[in-house]
Amino acid sequence: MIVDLSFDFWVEIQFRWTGRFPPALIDEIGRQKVEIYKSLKPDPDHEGMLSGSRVINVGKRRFDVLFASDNYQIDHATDTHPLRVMIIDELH
Amino acid sequence: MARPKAAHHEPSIPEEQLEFSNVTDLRQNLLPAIERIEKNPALRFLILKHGRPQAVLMSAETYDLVKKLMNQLVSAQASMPRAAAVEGAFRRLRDERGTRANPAPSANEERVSQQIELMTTMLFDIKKQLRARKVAKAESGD
Repeated sequence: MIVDLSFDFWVEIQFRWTGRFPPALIDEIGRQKVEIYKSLKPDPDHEGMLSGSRVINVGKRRFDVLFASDNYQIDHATDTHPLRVMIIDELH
Repeated sequence: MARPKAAHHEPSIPEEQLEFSNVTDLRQNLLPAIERIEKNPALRFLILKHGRPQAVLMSAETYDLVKKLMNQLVSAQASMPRAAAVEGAFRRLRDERGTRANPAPSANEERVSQQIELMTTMLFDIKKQLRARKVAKAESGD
């Protein structure tokens, strides 16, 4: 199974423009992406979507990351499953 | 050898490509590119390394403008309630349905185009708010 990681527009702005999150967070999410995808549950409010959140540590900083995946966007031919980073909140 | 060439994908944007394969190439072509930007502040160069876009060279004034726009967008997003932000992220994900069947470049172009559309809409709203605020201020000053 291949997990195709992507970022919501606003998360991308926070990474690429404001620099609010450390680049190491992307690496860490990338390392955990298969495990994260497997832990997602059907989202009761969004038909066809899976979702779940996870706390990810980067050094001393902690981030609560909301993930989602759209079942309609699974590429069955290549067994590629999308995983979207929806929102990131830093925990203090 | 660095070679400026016109970008053909978006003819309306004064964007050129500057390809380099080593530091000497970059050094030789950077100054002429900056001189051209000084004459035409709308011109920007997409700097490619081994054919892949790596950075953008633009006038400082243009960069200031981009900064202002981006910072306004970021402020607008920061003031949005979390629930609305989550809902927006789900809506954008759902809107991509059907694009993944055509992988990488075209799906990505579609995504960028949606993002530009969203930014334009938001900027228009911000402009409207600013105008309304200005009118209200002027009226209260009377």
